[in-house]
Formats: sequence, structure tokens, C-alpha cells
Amino acid sequence: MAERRKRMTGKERREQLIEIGRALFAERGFDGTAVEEIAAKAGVSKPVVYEHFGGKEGLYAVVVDREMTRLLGLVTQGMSDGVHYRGKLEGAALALLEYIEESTDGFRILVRDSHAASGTGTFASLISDIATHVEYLLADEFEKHDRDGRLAPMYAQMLVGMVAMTGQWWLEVRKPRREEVAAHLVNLAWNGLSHLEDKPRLHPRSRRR
Amino acid sequence: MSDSRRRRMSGSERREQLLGIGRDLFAVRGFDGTSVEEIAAKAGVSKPVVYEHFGGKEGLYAVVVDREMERLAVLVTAALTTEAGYRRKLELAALALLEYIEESTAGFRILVRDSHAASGTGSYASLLSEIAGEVEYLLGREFDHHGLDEKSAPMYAQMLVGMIALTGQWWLDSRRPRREDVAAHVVNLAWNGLSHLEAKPTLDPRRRAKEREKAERRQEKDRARAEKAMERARRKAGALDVYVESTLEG
Repeated sequence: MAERRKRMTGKERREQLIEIGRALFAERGFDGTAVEEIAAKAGVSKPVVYEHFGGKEGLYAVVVDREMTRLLGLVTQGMSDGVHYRGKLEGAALALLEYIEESTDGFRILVRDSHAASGTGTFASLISDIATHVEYLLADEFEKHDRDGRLAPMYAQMLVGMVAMTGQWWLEVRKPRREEVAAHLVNLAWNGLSHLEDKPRLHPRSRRR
Repeated sequence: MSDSRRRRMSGSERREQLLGIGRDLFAVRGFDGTSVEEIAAKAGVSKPVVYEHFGGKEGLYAVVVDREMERLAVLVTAALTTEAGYRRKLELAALALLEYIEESTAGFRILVRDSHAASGTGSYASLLSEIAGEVEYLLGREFDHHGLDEKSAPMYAQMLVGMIALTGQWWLDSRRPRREDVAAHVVNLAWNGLSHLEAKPTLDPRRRAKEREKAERRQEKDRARAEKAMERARRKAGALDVYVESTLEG
């Protein structure tokens, strides 16, 4: 059957292995995945995997790196798309949920990776990267409103924690739709429990995404 | 060596000692970085004593994690089930977590290393989801009272728990401001939202008379300052007042 397929270029082969690896790592975790299995699914011999990535660790590192880059890119994009800072918050929340929905495997890997005892905690470091972005945003906004800019780091943690935990929960429940979840997130962040809107809606600009 | 000078420990005293030593070592070096040899050496016993009590490093670790989880869960649950309004319950729950972090730092480090707040797996994550369940119940009733959709309570519970959990993790290393202030700020965001944040949030300070006095003095000063500023502003621009009022009405 290999004869019927066009021979892959090195780049194509890498992409194929990365994709297969991602799906397997997401399903079984790093320890539960073997190079044999990856090779078999790709229809190549084990040495081909070693040749491209040096081994399972290398392939895993590349998968994680790509997912981190992708998620961080989406979230920062979502943030900079928003005009006002409420809009930026919406954009960021929506971007995370979009990533969870469309790159479920990648998100599972990132999340699982953070408690691998040996690793540096990918998700944790990603979260703290995002918190730094939010912090800048808040510091500006706080100062504009005559609030103590030094409080921005703390509030950034709150906002990021709130979105991250809800995203994690949503990964499993998948209800309601992501636009609605984002609207509820912004509802709490913006209005607080004392002024919650009954049926929060996203800003029309964000809804178009 | 020095054993002859010490009274021989009872079995349960020995267990407690080994748990304490294990907790401190696990917190600093993690599970993989800690060896039974080291635990035994610090306790002044031979390795078999550790095996005898816990079956090995895994067993000792499991007991440490179990106790810490139990301790934190009890603290937070007590806060959430206090006879009080639900804003106060949130304050108390936030305070309980921070108190635990401050007073059982080693334990918290172990729980967190075992899993990150936002990640959803591991002991801390499973504890958080249990706490979210309690918050959900609280919110469900409250939402119902206020004509909000009860079905969204689980989602809001996640938000609230995530908010305090990640902030707690951050605070573990930064330790500033004081825990009462951190709790007050968390409740500030949760209660008022970004659009209505109080500039200097304080907790309802029934628990600490001292805190109350300090807070009151601070508030008094702020109020006076604000009044003065308002007075000044009024004098300076009486017209602005009219403008603000008309836009608020409009």
C-alpha cells in the first residue's frame, strides 16, 4: 500500500509524525505512548521517528512547543483585537475557548503536561505568560482610573485563573456554546456577583469571530 | 547515639515525625528528589522503620498528600458553611485558602506541585473541583433568590474557584500584600466586577478587632480626603457637577 502513495518529503513526514504523536499523547499521555506505535500508525519504521525527532522526548517537546505557540498566539491576538479592555477580555476568553474546541488534543496535552513531575509545567508557564499580558493591560487601565497600578498583577491572576479554570471545566462539559461561556465570564469579571446580568451577551464585534 | 538520651518514641509519634520530615522534604525537592534514606537519616532511624510504617516512599507521600488535602478541605468547607451571607462566605473561603498557604506552606507546595490549579488533574485539581461543587450549591440557591438562571451556577462556581486558586498560587511566592488584603481584593473583583471595583477594599472585619480599627482609620482618612477632594472639585467646577449628573441621568 506504500507503493500507491506518493513518497512523503521530509517536511511532510515530520508533520505527519507530529500529528500522530499529538493524537496519541492526548489520548494516552507521554508515558502511555510508544515510538513503535507512532511509527506503526505512520507506516514507517522506528528509526524514521528517531531520525526526525531523536526519540519520543523530542517529538513530545515539538508537539508541546507548537501547541503553546498556537494558544499564546490566539489569546494575544484575541486580546489585541478588542478595543476597550472589556473587549480585550472577551477576545481573550473567546480565543481560549476556541482553542479548546478546535485543538482539543493539544489542550489536553498542555494541561496534562503541567503536572508531569519532571517537566517545567508547560500550562503553568503559559498561564503565567498570559497573566503578564493581562497585567500590562490592567496596569494601564488602573492608572487611567486613578487606581493603584501595583495591584494589577494580583487582578491579572484572578482574571486568568477564572478563565483558565472555566476553560478546563468546559473541556469536558462542552455546554453551553463557547460564545455563551465567554459572555458569562465577562459578566462576572465586569459586573461582579452584585450586578450580574441575567442573559449576558457578547459585544457584537466579538460575536462575529 | 543520642537515642539513649531521648525517650523512645511511640509508634504514632514516630509516624508523625516521619510525616513531618517527609512533608518538608517533598515540598523542597519534590517526590522524585526525595529518598527514603534521607527521610530515615533526618529522623535518626534506619530505612526499614520508614518501610514498616508506610510501606515505602509512595505510601508516605500518599499520606502526606491525603492529610494536606483533608486539612485544606476542612478549612474551606468550614468557611463556606458558616452562618453568613454569601459574600461573607466567599471572603471567609478566600481567607481560609490564604491562611492555609501561609501556615502550611510546605503542604501547599506539595499539593500544587502535584497539580497546577488551572490544569484539572492531580490532587489539588480534584480538591478544587470538590470545592467548586460546594460553591455551586451556594450559588445555585443565591441565583434562584435573585431570579438568575440557576443552571449557570456551575460555570460561575468554576470562575470563582479559579480566581482565588490561581491568585493563591501566585501569592505563595509573592506573599504581598497581606492575606486579608488579598482576600479583600479577590472579593472586590468577584462582587463588584471590574466596572465597580472599590479602590481600597477591606474585609468585613468582625474577626479581628485590630484589623477593624486600622481599616476604619484608613477609611476615615480616605473619606475625608475624598470629601475634601469633592469639596474642592465642587468649588472649582460647579458646572462639572451638573454635567456629570445630567450624563448619569441620560
